[in-house]
Amino acid sequence: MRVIAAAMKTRIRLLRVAFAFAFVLGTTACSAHLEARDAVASRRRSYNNAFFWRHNDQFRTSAAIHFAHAKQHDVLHLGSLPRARQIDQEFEAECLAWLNDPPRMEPKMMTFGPHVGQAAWRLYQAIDWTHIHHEQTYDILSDGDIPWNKKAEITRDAVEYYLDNLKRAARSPAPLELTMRRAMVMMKPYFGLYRNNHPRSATFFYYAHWWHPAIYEAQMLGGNGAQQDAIVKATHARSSEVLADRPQRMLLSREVMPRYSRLSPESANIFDNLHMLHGIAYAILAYDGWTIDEKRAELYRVVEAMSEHPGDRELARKFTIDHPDMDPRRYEPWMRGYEGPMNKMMEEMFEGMWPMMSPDGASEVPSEVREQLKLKLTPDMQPGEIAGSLHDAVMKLVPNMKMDKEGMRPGATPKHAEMAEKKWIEKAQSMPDVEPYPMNAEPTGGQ
Amino acid sequence: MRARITLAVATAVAVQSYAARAADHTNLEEGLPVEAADAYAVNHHSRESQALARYEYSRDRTSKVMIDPRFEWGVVRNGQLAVRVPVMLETGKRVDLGRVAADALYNFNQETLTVPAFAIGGMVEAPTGAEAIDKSFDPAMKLNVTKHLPGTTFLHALHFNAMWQFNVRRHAEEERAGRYKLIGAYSFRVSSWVLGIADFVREQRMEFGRYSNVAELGFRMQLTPLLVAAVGGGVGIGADSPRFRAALAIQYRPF
Repeated sequence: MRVIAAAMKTRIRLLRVAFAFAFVLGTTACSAHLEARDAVASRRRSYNNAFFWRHNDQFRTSAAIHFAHAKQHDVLHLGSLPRARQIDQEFEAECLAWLNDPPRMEPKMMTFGPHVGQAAWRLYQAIDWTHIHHEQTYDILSDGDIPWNKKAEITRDAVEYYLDNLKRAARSPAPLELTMRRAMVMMKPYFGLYRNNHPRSATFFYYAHWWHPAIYEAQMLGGNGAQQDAIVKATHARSSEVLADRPQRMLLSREVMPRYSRLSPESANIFDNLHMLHGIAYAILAYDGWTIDEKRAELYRVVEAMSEHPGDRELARKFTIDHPDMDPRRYEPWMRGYEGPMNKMMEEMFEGMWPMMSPDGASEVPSEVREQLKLKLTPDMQPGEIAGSLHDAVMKLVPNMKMDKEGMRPGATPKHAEMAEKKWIEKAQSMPDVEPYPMNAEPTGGQ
Repeated sequence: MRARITLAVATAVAVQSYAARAADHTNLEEGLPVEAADAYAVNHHSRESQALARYEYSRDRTSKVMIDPRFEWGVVRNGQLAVRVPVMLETGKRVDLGRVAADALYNFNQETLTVPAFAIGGMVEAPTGAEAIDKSFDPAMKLNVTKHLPGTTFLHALHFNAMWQFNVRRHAEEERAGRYKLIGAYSFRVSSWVLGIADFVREQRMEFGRYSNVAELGFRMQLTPLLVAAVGGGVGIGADSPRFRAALAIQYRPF
């Protein structure tokens, strides 16, 4: 009898615990921003980790760069704007130390940026999922057992797996010209703050976004044989030169890996979209005018805007290549400065927006506004540059500018985004596709 | 018996070789190397092979070694299934099969700055091994909770695990209707590839009046993108607890 009573008591206790758990889960789900994790494993194929084994120094450099990407989120959000310069110096020093003594493993974003990871998980999922794609496409080129003429087909399979299995995390395969119009961040109150206040960190990532595509291009030049190892090493050896005189803009895939961009334009665009997402996320996190909930709303808006939309795959080849025969072993003068497709794209976008913003509907951007735009797109505070975001600078010059106040709010898409997107798609349809890269003859190390 | 063990081990090895891809050192797995697990399932589509070797020295001076191969599969988004086929070696006893078990875990949510991650699970142990006679298929319910510490770039997290296991075919005068197991744990990033975990495990035995308490410390190390190794140990507190135990484990990362 005593035993039965004890058993009943135990069951009643158990029921109470179950009800308490259901109550806690129910109330938290109602009161907080909850989302499912929905993580998916990457493609399992024989090439997995070929990059790790064949180019371990470069694998570790990539891991050091991804450490920097991860930690930058928390450093910016948890740091204060008045201390930004000091934070920038300290963080850059830490990034360089990690580059000199790189970690043996690729970290996930959460490992070094856990605070923002808890606040805006979907951002990290997009980054981690695309870093895995990065790794897999390096693997495919590293794997000498994959015949050269099969590389394109296997890369295509990896791209499709990436795009189809985690749609909310996958970056768009369309060119940045399109996704930036969808995101339409230029007149948001954070635009320009990261480059202004964290120039050392921003240019560290400009180095990183030279390094990643340059390594792909080295593999493309080397073929499957020993020349790949030699060219990858020689390209990697340029790192100190690039770090000493860093690019002043984000280099695009089509600039630093033109051959790979022709082999897999989808993958090349995915990387551009990821690299730009990094920059936008840092700008949002560096802005101290919004709460973390507001920042999450804006981050998720941008993550969604730069993800794949219907029809994006058909637009993947809509870009031009200015330096098709570039050699990744050389750090060319055209890679270093302000002028390049990235900033040209930003200037064109601004010109397209201007008639809707100018007080008199004029289509021509005033020269002083154009000058401020250039200064805002250049890292660090430049002589003559007005402090604050691009919006702040333009408002100072043109106080009665017509502003889309609703569109500036966190999580809101500016109203001219849809029109800008439509116009670019119309323009792209008349552009020729970039030519596929011939993969029938394996290169042996020359140009 | 020998044939059963051979079959079980062969099955486990076959499963291991099929799934030779895997692992993430920050995703805590039960027993690898300490008992605490987090509230997150392995990734959907991943197939993870795990193997644990645990040595335990009891207060009656007997030694026990458990070799525990496992296979874990992310069958649905946020949900995993696992099977394990432990083999026991104990002083003065024949090599035997332990309790073969299957368990499932489902994660409800990604944690936020204020709300932890929650997972619930179910497990059933089969009446296999030396103690199979008079035993039954004993199901269990699990609750796992994980919360990382906000406001810092350190990857530190608190974990809580609770389990209730039913005793289906009980001996009423000697055994409980069920037993609980409670675990509190703290995990911390040591480096980019090493994670430390400290936990405290309190569990009832099925026999009335018997409890076990163990304090453990372990490290999970990402050795290659495919391979995690784990090492850990623990000391028992109280008469029914083991004197000490040590564990070595490997797992292949999900792909």
